[in-house]
Amino acid sequence: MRMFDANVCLGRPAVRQPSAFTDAAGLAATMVACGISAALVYAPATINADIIDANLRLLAATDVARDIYPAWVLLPPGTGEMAHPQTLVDDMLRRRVRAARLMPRAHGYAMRVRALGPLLECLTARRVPVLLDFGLSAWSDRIHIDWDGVHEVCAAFPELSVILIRLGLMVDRDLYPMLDRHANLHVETSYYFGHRGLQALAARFGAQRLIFGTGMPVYAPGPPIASLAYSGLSVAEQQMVAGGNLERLLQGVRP
Amino acid sequence: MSMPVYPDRFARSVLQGLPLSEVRVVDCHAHVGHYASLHIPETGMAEMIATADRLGIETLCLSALEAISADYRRGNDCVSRAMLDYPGRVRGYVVVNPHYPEEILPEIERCFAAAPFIGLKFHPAGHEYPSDGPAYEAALAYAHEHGLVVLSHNWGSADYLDRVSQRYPRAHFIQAHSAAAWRGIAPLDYLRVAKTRPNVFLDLALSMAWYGALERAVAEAGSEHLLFGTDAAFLDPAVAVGRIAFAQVPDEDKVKILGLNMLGIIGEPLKPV
Repeated sequence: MRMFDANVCLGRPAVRQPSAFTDAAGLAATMVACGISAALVYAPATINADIIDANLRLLAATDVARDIYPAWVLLPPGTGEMAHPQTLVDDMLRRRVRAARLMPRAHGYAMRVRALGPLLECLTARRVPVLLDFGLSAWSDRIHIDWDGVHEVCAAFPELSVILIRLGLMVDRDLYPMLDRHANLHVETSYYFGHRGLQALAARFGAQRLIFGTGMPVYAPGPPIASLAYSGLSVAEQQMVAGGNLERLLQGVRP
Repeated sequence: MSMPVYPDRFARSVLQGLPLSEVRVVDCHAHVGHYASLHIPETGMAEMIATADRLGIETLCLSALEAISADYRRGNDCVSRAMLDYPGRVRGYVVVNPHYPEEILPEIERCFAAAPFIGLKFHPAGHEYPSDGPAYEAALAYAHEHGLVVLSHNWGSADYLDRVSQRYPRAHFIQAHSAAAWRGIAPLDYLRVAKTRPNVFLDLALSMAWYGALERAVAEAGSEHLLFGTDAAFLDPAVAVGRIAFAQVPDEDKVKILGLNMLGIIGEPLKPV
């Protein structure tokens, strides 16, 4: 099983877990210890510091590493804090950044087309997948998921691949209808831990909707690895979830 | 002593999707049955056993979700049936409900007469009752008298767990979800208690597995008082297996956590009352 981790934080966070890596060399060593082949990373300073600077510094950190790929954290364009969406997305792709991450809860905006429309139009046109991070930690944080916003965005941009990060227990009654309605919606698996949960999702919606991630080094990588390895999915399905689906999405990006 | 190389044998088994082997694995904290607050795709005993086989889990020590959330008698009966249907694979906790204090001892005796339960389960949160409330005293005294395990969702405070474990030294106290909110950064009082009290154990069942927290727990308190628990069928038991399998702690510590410690607690067959 070739694992491509879609959800890794790389840098020096304000709160560091015991023995957590803070640089690409440390991440690479952890990947070897866990059997992970590749990682899509974002910078922790994007959460509450200078996002543009953190995105740029992430490039330097990942430039020296094999199989570690940057994802940029973006803001809605209304306030003009980042470049015009067209310029921004062009710049991302020129720098070989092939995934975007949105953090509406951490950055204080609503997941609505009125705020994000111009940016999402540009990301959709270039087929850049969007990791959507509502800052979920415990399963009880499900109240912070803006399902109406997810619905609105997925409906308005059906060609945009949206990956929901760290969904936990108690989301299924909202999640299932969303997956039914929106073929462009995907689930990252770092916290999707219900008994036979992955198996049930794959059986109903197809394994192509699941994207493997760990959330390290905030969260331990072992649980999502084991959850997938023992999921009961076929070898081909496991490979899709472990890395094939993310690779497909990234290869679909139009430079 | 040579330095461990990771992935070790446990992690390699996981990566291949093979059951853990050459190690005894006992789940100290599982459940069976439905729970209306959330969708759990599979909660039946047969599916739980099939999952345990897939992972290499030898024994499930469990209570019924219905006993926590609704009718404790029906829930305890469900566990009795599971023990009889899967002898040796399933061991049960009798759930006591502190809102029916006069029924606690008769219920314990009824259950132990019906099937080989290993102990008691308290769920102060589910029953909305204080962890140190007086209705639990009779059950604790019974556990002490019979050398039973008492698994509580929450003992309230480490100081209370320290005191009650001294007051009933023949009972074995398990703090469930002991690292649930513990990131491994600040000191954890429960670890101090587990380290100093021979009859106090910490169950590792939780959904949130913070990076490096298990390694720090082992470094601070040793592995002798840590127990493998899954909180299945809320959670996929693979989650807890993966957390331990990929932890960067020595092989001998993993062997103790995965099963030896719990086997030491429940190893001797308990006589029905």
